[in-house]
Amino acid sequence: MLKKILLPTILLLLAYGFWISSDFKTIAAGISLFLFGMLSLEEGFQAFTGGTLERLLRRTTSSTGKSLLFGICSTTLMQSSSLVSVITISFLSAGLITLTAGIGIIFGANLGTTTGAWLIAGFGLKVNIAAYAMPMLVFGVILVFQSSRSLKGIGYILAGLGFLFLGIHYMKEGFESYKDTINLAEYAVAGYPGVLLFTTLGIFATVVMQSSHATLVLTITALAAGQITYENALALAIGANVGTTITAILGAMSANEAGKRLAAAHLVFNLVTGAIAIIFIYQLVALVNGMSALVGIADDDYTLKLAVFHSVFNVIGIVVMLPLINQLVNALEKYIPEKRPEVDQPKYLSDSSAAFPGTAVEAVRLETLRVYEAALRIIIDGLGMKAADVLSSNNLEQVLGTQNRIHQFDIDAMYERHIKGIYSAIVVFISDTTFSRREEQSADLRWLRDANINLVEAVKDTAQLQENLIFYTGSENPEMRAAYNRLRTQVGLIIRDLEEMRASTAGVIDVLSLDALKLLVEEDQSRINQTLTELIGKRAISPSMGSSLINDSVFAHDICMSLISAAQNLFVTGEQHLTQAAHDVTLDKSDLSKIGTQASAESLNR
Amino acid sequence: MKRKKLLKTLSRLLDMKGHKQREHRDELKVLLRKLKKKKVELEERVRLEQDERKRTRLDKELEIINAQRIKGLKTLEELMQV
Repeated sequence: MLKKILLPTILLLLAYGFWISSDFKTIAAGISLFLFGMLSLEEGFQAFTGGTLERLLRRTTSSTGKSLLFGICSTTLMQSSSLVSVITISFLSAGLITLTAGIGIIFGANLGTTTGAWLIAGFGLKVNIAAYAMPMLVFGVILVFQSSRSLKGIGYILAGLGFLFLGIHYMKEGFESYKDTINLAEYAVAGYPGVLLFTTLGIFATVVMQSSHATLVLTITALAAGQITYENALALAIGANVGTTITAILGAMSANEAGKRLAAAHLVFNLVTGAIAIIFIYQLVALVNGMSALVGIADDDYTLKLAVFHSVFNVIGIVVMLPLINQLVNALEKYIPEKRPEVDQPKYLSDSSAAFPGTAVEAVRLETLRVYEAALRIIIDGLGMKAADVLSSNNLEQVLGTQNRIHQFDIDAMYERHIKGIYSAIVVFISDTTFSRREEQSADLRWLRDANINLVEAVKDTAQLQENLIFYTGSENPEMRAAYNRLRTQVGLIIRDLEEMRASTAGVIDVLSLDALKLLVEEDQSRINQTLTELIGKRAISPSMGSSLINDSVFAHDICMSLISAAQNLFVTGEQHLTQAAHDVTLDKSDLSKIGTQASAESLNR
Repeated sequence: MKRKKLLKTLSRLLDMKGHKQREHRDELKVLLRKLKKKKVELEERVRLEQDERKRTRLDKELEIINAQRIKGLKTLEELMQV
């Protein structure tokens, strides 16, 4: 109900404002241009995600110090702590960075955003920036129409900067002319009531505009025009700092628990910093005065002093909160716990991880790894093996030979519980992601989808194999027991090899060497067929036993092949830029059979 | 002549499809170099390996790498012709 009334009310109020004051119209147009500029800037930087930004983020968040520095630098560059916090939430949701690193970035972004105040106070108000805005807009718009993604991105950035500058110019102009008609400074409230009132106003303005930057620019321009007092401007800056968390909170609504924890950390940081600034506002003012005098800022240059104040209280926030980062992480993990559903659900697929192509691919990869792990557990249990035996260096065939019987394991139920939910979500996520993916990212998603199909096939084949396996491992016929144990061993050893490779940091060449495993599986298959023919010929097993064994050996072969194919798509942790080329040289069934025929011809010639 | 060359360079720069293909070709070249290096390493290991069973396994890997290189070279040839 409130939502329905709010928008028309705001529009009506604005229309009334425009009607009674042309200066108000100029200021509002300035704010609109400024916000539009920020949107354009965000659009421009998003063009560079899906590669450079992700690589940079991954490399620069290995420690809290580095994360902090990354937050400062990226926000200084992008001039939007909101964009940085939304990107960080999406990276955290996709599992690319840790919560501690995410918090570090958010702390840094809070300090980085203060550079905006410096730029506007030190440069924006003293130079006619509208003169720079026009060429930027022209070049920007021309580049926006180009087909190249990078040029388009640069175009959006240029146009964004142009709109930002133009917006500042109009706000400045609006407040300058306002001075002649009405003096807002008359409404200034002194003392703590004033601080609290203007802090609330700052929060409200930032929530409405969804940009602390816009509130700060508005504050600085109003202060420069003498429309508000210095003390009230400080309170507005504190309010803007608290209100800016709304973007992160909105961004986290569609994120998973990790994203929600980060948004909560952002809110905690900004509330604590705001509280410190309000409580010690007079001491901070004295400190800012002292520092300003030290660096040569004039006593009456309140705009620059406001920038100093903004930086000082954010630095204090970081100094206070940084040593408490681990306690904050623990508290957030305690109060925002991860939900454990009956049926396994995706952890990394969310609207925020779909926002950027690179994070979408990584989120699908991490979910596919979960499917892989669940599939391995089901296959090992379904074939009556123990993970400890499969993953150790024990002689697996010998270990399995000592088992007299295998217990029934409900593979279908385990599939429904541990795989189906995630698998379905992956399929939907891949189909639903509407962002403009680059060719290589679409290919990555396609390969990951294939890996999922392979894993599901491996589990289904295990269910097929299980029935006869249970029957014949309890059989009186030693040949049948041995034959089925060999099938289990074949699958177990492939899982062992794959897990060894997964534990090492696999490059493209290592993953390509998995083709050798495929060849071994093919050779095993022909050996098994050979043994089978001999067993039937010797009448050691009945024809019906033989046909069961032939069918089941095909299932075992298919399980191995599916697992290897899935691993080839999943395991590359480095050199990801070479995955397309790796797929070009990966051997398919016909290539492998050619090598197999060659090998058998050679062995015959020997 | 100079203008023609300039136009050709410009159109090459703006041709995104061509750029993608060049990138693909370069990646394949890098991978083929890596495979060649791995092949030389494996040949050396096969030469030094005393254990018959291990040598057979290494031989298999070598066969695979050779097949992968042949497949890669064929793809590269096709890409060069485009």
